[in-house]
Amino acid sequence: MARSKKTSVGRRNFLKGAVGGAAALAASPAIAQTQQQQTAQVRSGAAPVLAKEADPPPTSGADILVEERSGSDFMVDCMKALGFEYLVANPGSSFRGFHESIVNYGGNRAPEFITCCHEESSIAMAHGYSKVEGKPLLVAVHGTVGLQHASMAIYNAFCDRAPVYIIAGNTIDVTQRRPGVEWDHSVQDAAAMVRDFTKWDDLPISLQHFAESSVRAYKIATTPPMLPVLIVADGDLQEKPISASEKFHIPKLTLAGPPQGDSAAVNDAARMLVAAENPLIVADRVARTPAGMKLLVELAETLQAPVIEQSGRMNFPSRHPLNHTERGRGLLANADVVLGLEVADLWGTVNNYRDQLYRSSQPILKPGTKVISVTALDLYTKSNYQDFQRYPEVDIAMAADAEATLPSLIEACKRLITSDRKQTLEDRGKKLAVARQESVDRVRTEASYAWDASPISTARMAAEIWGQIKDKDWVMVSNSGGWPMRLWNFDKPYQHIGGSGGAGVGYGAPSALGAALANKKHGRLCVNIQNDGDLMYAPGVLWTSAHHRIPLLSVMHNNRAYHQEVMHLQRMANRHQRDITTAGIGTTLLDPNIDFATVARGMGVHGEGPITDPKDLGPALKRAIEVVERGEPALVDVVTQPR
Amino acid sequence: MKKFFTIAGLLTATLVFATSAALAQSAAGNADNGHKVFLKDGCYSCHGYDGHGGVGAKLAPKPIATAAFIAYVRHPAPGGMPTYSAKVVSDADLTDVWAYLKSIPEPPAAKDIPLLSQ
Repeated sequence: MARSKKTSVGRRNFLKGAVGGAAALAASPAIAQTQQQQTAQVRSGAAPVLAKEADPPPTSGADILVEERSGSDFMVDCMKALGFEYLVANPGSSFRGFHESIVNYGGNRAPEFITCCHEESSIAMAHGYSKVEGKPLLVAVHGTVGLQHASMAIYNAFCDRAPVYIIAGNTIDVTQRRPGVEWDHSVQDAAAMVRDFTKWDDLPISLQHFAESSVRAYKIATTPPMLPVLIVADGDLQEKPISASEKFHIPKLTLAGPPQGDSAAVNDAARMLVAAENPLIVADRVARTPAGMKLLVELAETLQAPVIEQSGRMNFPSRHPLNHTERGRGLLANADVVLGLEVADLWGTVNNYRDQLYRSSQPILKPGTKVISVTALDLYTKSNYQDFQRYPEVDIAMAADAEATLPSLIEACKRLITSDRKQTLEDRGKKLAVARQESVDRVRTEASYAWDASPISTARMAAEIWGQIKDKDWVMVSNSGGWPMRLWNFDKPYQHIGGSGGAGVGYGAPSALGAALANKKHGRLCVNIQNDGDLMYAPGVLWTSAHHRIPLLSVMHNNRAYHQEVMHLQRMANRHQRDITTAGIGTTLLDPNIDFATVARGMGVHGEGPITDPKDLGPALKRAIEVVERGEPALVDVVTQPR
Repeated sequence: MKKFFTIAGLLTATLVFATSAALAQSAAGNADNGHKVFLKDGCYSCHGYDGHGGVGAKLAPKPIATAAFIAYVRHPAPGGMPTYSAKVVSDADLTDVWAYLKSIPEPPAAKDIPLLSQ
């Protein structure tokens, strides 16, 4: 990694500057004292008063008001060495030194400061970015109130196994805190609040410590399972001058290779899969790199095994003859061997659970079905937050990264397939292709229902968008696994980035923007199907998109409700046999109806709509895409059916 | 005489038609009221405003027979749709809902929609 060449030169010049500065100020101690009095008076609201007589000279430290370089400059050297493209943040005084070093010392390039209006947006942008680029983005937050804001988004990234690199500002030395707000914004253990859902954290107390921890944090964040990490940048460490006698070294970053499945387990799994009459592959967060999709296709084609795509990442082409996501339930019931690859909820996949007054479950799999699990989650599980789901019973458990294990599994399967067996597999493949075509026809028929309805059906909306983007280099940067996955042709590894992980609402808009930021340099058309309730959490992200000229097409799925909760309320009212007409209280976004096109325009984003007639949708999308292709964000407000 | 038979015939036809319509309505329900109930009781939230499905199953066009429809609402398959007892929605209202679903026209055939063939 490149290191800044400024470090050693800067320290020599600092010493000259510091001596010069101190000498200039020593001649007028009264000025320094007056400034302190003025500061105290400004805080109290009183008019400043000049000192009437000279006060005793202050200590030598108080004489020094300027410095050439401070610790935060070196912190930025560390960030540059790690190769961050951007720093995403809402500004905070607890990291003012770091912020100023980014924009001045660092030239506001690599990383460039991206201004967010909420720390939840900053983290979610980094989350979305990381799934495109396969590496973390840098985020800075206040160590207290900023981190509190950010915490849900950090949890989402944790559940989604996405690396986010967080710098939290804090002042640990009580004598270095300004009275008032700086105490409200200081904490003994800043990372404690999020330690249950971050992989590693540290509070460096020297600049060399900072250098080593910053490199270590990057390595830990990017070793599967990839997860958020946090470094506390102490305010004093940021702002104090760099001592001329200190020598710093930024250690070399060497990324750890991802863990692969044990060879004996791989061979056992291959034997089961090759011998199976009805094998089934379930893929969730498999594709960690662009190679992931290619490898999964190779495995599926080698075995002629159907794949259920759970869309945690872009794992499998949507129109591949072996993509049988539509037929998943029936295939699970009929399978004799199930291979789960980075499946977040394997228990929930193979069991049917009833949300009733007295809850119960039933297995979907028939007795005797073998289950193989390959997941890095088995290498790292925390206790408090229960995102690890219910314990699945499996026959082979490989604690390993699925993508890294695929090459050896494919090889092991190929070694076992005889020419006779190959014929049997090919015959199975032909039957699967026929079954798949039948399910495709059923999907198209389903999509035709309510085709001309108002509010607009989500199938119609998805089809209209597809009509506009299909010949372009597009990416779906939202978790819109329904109609887009059923109708569009997803065949490139970057075309989908999965979901939030923790289902924390408010992830959608900023993560889409973070993904669009990553895709900007690739020139891809990013499409975000945006839920209305989600955008309302932190709509300031629209301003960020306009200010930083991040091209992104947002199409509102405006069903005017937190719709999931509408259904939950109905269920509760029915259970109690009480008034079932009240499910809209506390769940709907009506009266007034939010005009998202106007909201967008108010923040500098091109807005179309609201669209209620499906015939108006195509032209509105076309106009919006023209804006996006010029390099600006655009939003189309579509009033839709509930789901 | 001819005029009498014409008038009588018209009256008879009108009476037969009115009776049939009344009988048809009482058997098939009132679609207008059914639409109101469909919205008020929140059926649309899972099944779509047009009964075309969503989280819940497609109900229209061509809903299942009225009796089967009511029976399912009272005793849905476990773990899916919540149970709607007679206390929260009456048989009469459900019959009207059925009439509303029955009134929803068929969509265009999927093969005739260019956007679905891309």
